[in-house]
Amino acid sequence: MSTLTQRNWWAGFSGFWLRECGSANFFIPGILASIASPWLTLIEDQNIQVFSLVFSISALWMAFCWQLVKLQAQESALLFPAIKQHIYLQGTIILVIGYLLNALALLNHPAPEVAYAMLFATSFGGSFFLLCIRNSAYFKHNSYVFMLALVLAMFYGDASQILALLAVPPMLMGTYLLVTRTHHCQWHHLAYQTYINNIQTGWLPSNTFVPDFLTRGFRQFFMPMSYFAGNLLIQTCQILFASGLLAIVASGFFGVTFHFVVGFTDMLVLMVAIFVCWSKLQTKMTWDQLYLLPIYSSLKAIKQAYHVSAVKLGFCLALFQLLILLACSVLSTFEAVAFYLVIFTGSIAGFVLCVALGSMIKSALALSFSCMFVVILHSAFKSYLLNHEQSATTLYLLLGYVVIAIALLLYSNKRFD
Amino acid sequence: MTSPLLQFTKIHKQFTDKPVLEDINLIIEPGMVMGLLGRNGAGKTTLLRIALGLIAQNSGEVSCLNSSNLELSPTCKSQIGYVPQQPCGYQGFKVKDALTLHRSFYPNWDITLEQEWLSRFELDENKLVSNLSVGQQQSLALIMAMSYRPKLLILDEPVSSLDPIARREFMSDLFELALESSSGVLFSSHITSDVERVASHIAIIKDGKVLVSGELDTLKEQIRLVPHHLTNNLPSGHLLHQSERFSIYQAHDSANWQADLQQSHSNLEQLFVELHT
Repeated sequence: MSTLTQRNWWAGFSGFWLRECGSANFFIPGILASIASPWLTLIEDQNIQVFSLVFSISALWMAFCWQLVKLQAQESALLFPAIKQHIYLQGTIILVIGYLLNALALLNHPAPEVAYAMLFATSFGGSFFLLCIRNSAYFKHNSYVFMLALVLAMFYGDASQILALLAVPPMLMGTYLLVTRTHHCQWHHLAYQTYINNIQTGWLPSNTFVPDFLTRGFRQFFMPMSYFAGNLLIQTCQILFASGLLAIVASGFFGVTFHFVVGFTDMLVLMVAIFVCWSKLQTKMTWDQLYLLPIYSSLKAIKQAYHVSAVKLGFCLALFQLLILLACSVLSTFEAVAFYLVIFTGSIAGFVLCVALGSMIKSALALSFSCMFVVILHSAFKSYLLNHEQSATTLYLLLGYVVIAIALLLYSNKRFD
Repeated sequence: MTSPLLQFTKIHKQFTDKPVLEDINLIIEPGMVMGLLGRNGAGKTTLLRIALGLIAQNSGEVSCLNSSNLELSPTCKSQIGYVPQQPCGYQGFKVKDALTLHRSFYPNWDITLEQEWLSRFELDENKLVSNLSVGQQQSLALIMAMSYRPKLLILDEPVSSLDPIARREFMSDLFELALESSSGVLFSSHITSDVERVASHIAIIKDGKVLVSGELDTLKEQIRLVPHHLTNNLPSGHLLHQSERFSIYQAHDSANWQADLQQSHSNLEQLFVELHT
């Protein structure tokens, strides 16, 4: 008989937080952003600093919330309560490390501003955490809560006092949830459904807020991509649309810098590609299922149609991003034509690159990691190009980027299922 | 007399307006392997969840290892093994890492038994849990639920995804384990042949009510599918159900069956099917 009931706090850490895509998709960006946050204080732009801080802390809270959903979905978790305590301990340590890393920003930044931003992120993340303890079903709104926190951080990044004021309603809600708490993290019969749905849809609820007759044409135009992504495609596009409009308002009336809007919209465009690939992978839909539909002549034709629709979608999203940036420019100052050209072409290339990777990668975790690195590299590369938009090297580099993205897309079209 | 490991007394449960379980009385004693049979939606899973306090009954009492099902202490829980229909958790773990962590929660973990079952189910310890097939995940869940030799084992369709060989082996082990360690087992299943092979007792649930329960061998002697033209001289007992072809009758004394019916034993599958037609 074994009597090894002692375990270190880190036992199973990688399994819970890193290897399980549900948590990893929040935890890894959260911890990377926490590491990056203190370095970002070296940049002048306060919006980016606050955004990064809010992003990292909110993402870590979301990763913790995901563990709550998983616990509530596990009937057997009730039978070994020690596992709940073990995960709680790991989650608490992760949050403490996240806060400490972000607190390093104090070295180069006024204390009240960092504190206000932390308070804001904590109020959103913490109260959502308490809500998820009560019932895992609330977790389906996580992307909206997360996006709301980010959008508010974007708007009021340079006015931390306002962020502190915005933290009051979630704090009141959190207090209410704490006071009225009767039980915590119990098994719930719908939690497994929430768990599976969130894994499959990439954490977005399945409502689209738009009547079917309006989305039908959209679906048809982007078929078969819309077949794999379902409502998710429409939702992510809606988020891109709404966030784009908000970015114009933020840029025109809230002092948000143009470069921030560029980075933000870039991230949103890639997000659509990542979510589509994610959904395709998680729902385990293969080309064969489409093959049975009497609309495509061969497997090759379906793959080709999928990748053509990806390019179409990339083009449309990049065009929308360009329109947003032009609108922002109208409210401030216009950049050189080359600047807009780099943004437009670079976004299409980034989108296509993500789709190509999504077609080649079979593991959810590998997809998460690859897409994350694509987002980071894409942002860094594009930032370099935008800073040197007039040089001839930029043109060659941009051309190289496009060629690589298209080559990968063609390769995935030829080689992979 | 030993005290029962699990006892349901007059359990009633309803979801919104729909009654799911009505007047359920069952007892699981040490060494007993009870097979719970019923069609989809009959209330089997609900009953098992009530036993563990995962959901609360509307009325009635459940005594689980001498505690109320709604107030199970950690000590009590460490003596219960449970395999739900959808085992989830440990998705990001390798099999060996999942077992290492899981093992650390139980002081009485039998590592020899774990290894024996790992090789029997041919589970690759270095494989990711999320990459296992449904049947392999079920096997892992069974190993995790049984390697600490729980006093009470509750299994919700434990072998539905196993191949016939693994199923057969598991079932015979289950029976041996219960006998060896005086554990009690309550398991639900659709596969009547499995239940017939290993269960010492059965309970058939239909529309939330227990239609038949008791020791399997005794029930086989007591219950007959009686063709309608032979229903005249039946021994004292009661009518369980009338199907199109048969009257399903349970005699108080199995010795009193008339000659025509004395040897006409029916198997569990026949009984189950006729009870539902």
